[in-house]
Amino acid sequence: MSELPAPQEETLEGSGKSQTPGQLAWGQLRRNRVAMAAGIVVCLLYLMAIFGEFISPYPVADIRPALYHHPPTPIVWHDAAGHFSLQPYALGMKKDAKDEYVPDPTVRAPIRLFNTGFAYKLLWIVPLRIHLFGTSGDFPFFPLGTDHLGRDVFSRLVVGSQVSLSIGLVAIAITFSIGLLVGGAAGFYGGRVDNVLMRLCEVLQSIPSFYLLIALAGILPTKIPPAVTFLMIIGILSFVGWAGLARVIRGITLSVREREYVEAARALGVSDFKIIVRHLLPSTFTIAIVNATLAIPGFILAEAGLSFLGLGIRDPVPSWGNMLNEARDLEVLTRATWILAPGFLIFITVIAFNTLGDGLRDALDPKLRR
Amino acid sequence: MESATPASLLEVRGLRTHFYTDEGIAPAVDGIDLEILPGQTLGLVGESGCGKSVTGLSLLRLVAHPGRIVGGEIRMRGQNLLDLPMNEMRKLRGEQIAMIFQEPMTSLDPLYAVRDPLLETLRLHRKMSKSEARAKAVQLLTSVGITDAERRVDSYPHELSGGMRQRVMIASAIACDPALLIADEPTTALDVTVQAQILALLRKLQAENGMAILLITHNLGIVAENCHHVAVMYAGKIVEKASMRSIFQNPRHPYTQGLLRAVPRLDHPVKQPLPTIPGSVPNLLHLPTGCRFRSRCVWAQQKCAEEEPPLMEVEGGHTSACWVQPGFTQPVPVKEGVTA
Repeated sequence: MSELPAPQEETLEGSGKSQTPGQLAWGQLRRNRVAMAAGIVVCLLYLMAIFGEFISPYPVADIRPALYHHPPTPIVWHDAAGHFSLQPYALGMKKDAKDEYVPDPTVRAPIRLFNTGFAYKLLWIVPLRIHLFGTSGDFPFFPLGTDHLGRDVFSRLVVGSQVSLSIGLVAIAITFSIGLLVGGAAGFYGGRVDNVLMRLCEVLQSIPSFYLLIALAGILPTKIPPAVTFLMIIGILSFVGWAGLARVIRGITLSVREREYVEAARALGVSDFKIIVRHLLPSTFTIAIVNATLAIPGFILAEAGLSFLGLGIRDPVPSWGNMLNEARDLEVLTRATWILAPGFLIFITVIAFNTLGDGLRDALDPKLRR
Repeated sequence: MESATPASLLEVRGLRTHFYTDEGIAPAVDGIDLEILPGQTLGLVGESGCGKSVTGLSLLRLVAHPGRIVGGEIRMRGQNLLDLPMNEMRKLRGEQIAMIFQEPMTSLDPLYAVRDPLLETLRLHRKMSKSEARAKAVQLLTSVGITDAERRVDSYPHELSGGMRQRVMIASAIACDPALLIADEPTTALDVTVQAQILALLRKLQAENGMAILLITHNLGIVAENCHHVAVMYAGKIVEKASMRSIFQNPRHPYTQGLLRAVPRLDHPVKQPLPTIPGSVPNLLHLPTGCRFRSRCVWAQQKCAEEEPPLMEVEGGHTSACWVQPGFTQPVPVKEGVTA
């Protein structure tokens, strides 16, 4: 037997510790400024949703019939005497001869930070009365005007984001779970299981999804609490949405199943379950994460669409979709353009998620790594 | 037969593994007998597609759909592995019988560090704690010749060369001191110097641990250097079985003889083409009657088409499945009338 030759010395890339795949992807993502900006926008949007009641100056259901379609309150940086001040003031508004609101410089109130207002619970736990900003007493201050019932659009927008943004997240979590389970099972077991599951996906996908959504939403009873509606909408969205993801996951599982490291793991006595959890699913994660990020805006839009048609979240609980409901009327829209604000936020959210998803795809794909 | 002594570690009797394809049933392994003695190396030789790898996978019962083991026995220390329930079989994998594969480049999951397959086996079969397993992993990597193992254990596969990865695969295969290591073309994907290192490593580990090795290869040079016994496989059948010395000095099956002639030699006349075996392995879905090699065999006779030759003892412990049993030194007749 010959002597064992010494293996050639090889140097590891770099000098320090090895980077995990996660660290590599994060480093790549951080260098992508557009994606990082989109990520920050997404984070800000969710912060807004979490601290909704703290940010909004009025309760969302407060009706002021006299002040319907009140335009956004002007903010000025000078006091009654016309001197510049660091303290911003909200100007009062009055109706002129043509029944239109015009600023009334004689009436003003200081806008205060950490103003005391209506009682709420911060993060659904801590009882508080402090709000980010507001005016004292009954002085009307509507940063984005009011709707047809005189409700503060800004407050409704901020609190409505809780519904609109969380629906995307929860729906994707459910879709993801079903998609991973069904796709993973189809890919791993193959054969008849694969056939049955995939045909099921195709049946679901062959139905135009929005009509399916409308049909499902139409059979929901109308007199149920908003929380239940919320859950049902999520259920409906997930029911329609999982098929596409399942097909993607199945494809990846099929290819990874044949890799030699799966065979090697089997030869070491690793169980099927552990192989699925440790080797198959993680390799689908990169694509699944990107898919999920790109799918969230779809759910947000679908919720908005349902609520817009009156089949989703119902008044007085605000969501971006049902707030837009009012903007159907062109005459109203020309008089009170500010009621389009939720549409603008939907636009921002969708763009931010799509940009972030693109950035994630670039960061997670080793072939695109520089 | 010498090999049938009760001392053998693993005995395969009449193993049949068939693939149920849309076009028909392909008998990839069609009734083979093998004996592997403890501490020795059995070489399983043959060209591509003759069922070597499927045999290796069958021993671990890892044949994937649409393949299925349809008959025979695989006895390890008297216990028939085909009778074991699947969870018992799984415990045996990695612990009693381990396997290394052809492609070290893809045999490690790119998502996990080198330590992972090692820790996985050690914790699974030896119930070690994380820190114990890690210490053992470092020790194993050192024993397979990886320098600076303390640091490399945290490297990722993409940071290692093919030879290094194959060393890691070997380390995880021998982690639990298996009695048998199945090495399925362990060096095919590596360059020649690394090949020699890996084979030397396997010999060293065998000398230290006394494990048996089933070395699956198509390279007769590797067989000559590493094996104690050799089994030659052709179209799902074992056609010749003997000790290493006997196979090289006195090959009796025309297929084995053809393989040996096809090995490039330094004393081969310049500018003369290397001898080859005409034709290719028959389609397993449409096997010829009689001897499976006859369409490529220069010695083929009427009897070869009528009856399939069984393994016949030529001399002590040397068996060959051929009606003709030509001597290696006999001149090869020019083949006529038989189309490949």
